[in-house]
Amino acid sequence: MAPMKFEENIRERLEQREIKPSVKAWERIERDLDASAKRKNKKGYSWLIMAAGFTGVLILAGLVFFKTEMPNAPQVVINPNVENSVEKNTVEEVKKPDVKQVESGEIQIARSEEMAKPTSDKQKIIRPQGQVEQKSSVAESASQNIKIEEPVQKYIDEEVNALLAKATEQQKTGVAYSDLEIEKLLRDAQRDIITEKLFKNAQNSVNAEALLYEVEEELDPSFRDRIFEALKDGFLKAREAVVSRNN
Amino acid sequence: MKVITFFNNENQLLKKAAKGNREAQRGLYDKYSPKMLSICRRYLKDIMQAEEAMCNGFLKIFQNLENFREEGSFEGWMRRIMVNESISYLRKEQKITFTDYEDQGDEATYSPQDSDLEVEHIQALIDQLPDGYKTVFVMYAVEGFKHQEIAIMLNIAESTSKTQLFKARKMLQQKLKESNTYKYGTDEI
Repeated sequence: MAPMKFEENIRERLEQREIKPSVKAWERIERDLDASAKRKNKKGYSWLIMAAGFTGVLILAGLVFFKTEMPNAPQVVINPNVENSVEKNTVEEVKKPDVKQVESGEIQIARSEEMAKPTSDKQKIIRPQGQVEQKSSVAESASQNIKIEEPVQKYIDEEVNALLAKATEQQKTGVAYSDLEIEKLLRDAQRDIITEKLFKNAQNSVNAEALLYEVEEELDPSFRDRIFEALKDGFLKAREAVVSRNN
Repeated sequence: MKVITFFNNENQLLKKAAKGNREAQRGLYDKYSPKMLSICRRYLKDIMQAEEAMCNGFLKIFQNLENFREEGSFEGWMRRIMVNESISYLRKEQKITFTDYEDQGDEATYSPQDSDLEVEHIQALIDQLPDGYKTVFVMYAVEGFKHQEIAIMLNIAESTSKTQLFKARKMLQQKLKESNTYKYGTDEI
């Protein structure tokens, strides 16, 4: 029991004892508390900076990503040398197969991939000042060979001006024409020009190539019709076969 | 004292101190620091070292006051922090070891009878013990920890704790005997 009593005595005495700390002790604690509070604030601030930086990086990455995506989209190239003002087409309009409005200036619609190719089916060049591009190679050669005289040139200008006037009117009124209609108009104009050339020529001679082109123009739709007829027949036969098999 | 009267309710004081209210923290410090320094002094011989350990302890207390759950007493929680701080101070500064020291003098049984020892005298006796003996003795005999708890806190085996306590008691008796001989001129108490 003696050791227990002795230890109890020690415990009691030590428990009762109080030692007053120096003034510096609290100052030190206060200083350390301030320092840790500052560190906490700095930590919070640094998190804010990090978050802002991360958001900035995300925005930049997004911009870069969408910029790299853009070249795949169709581009509208507008020639600034044209005298008349050109109305800009939107990308959505370009995507549509039929161009509804004939521009008064030179408009090139092309995809970036197709830019590398020298000739492209999707490129449409409409030149208002007497330089109407012809699809047929025969017609091209004919137009190159025929020497354009002043009255003929005047007539061509008139035709082109009439077309331009029509196009401007369409733009104003909002009436749209399909590709086929535009092409038909161009063809009619071409035909008129060639006929005029044939009969108003000074020597009254008939150009063989021009005649051939005219005939081809007349033959061309019938051949196309025949192809369509053949395709239609084939389709109907196939459809009947499928229906009879199912039955 | 004015601060304590202002925050007469300790719970209120604790809540404000947890939010970083410096006056509330000062109130808690003023109330508990003498006791806490006394606890640290039991483990550390030098008063300056004890004060440093106490400051570290208070810093931890204020920084972790939000984590204090009112399951036990606040004073008990503080005491435990102070003991841990003192032990880690001993480990850091003095490299505490739990080795068995050779007995000095004859084999004496542990039978101290002097129960009227002055507190400073008791502290002086405890200070003479090796750090390992002293730590285990104070933790067991004064703080009331069990051997299992001491083993966990000091990262030693339970048997080591028991041995250290036994050796500490024995050495303490010898020191007490020596001091009585010096005091009264005889080794008979």
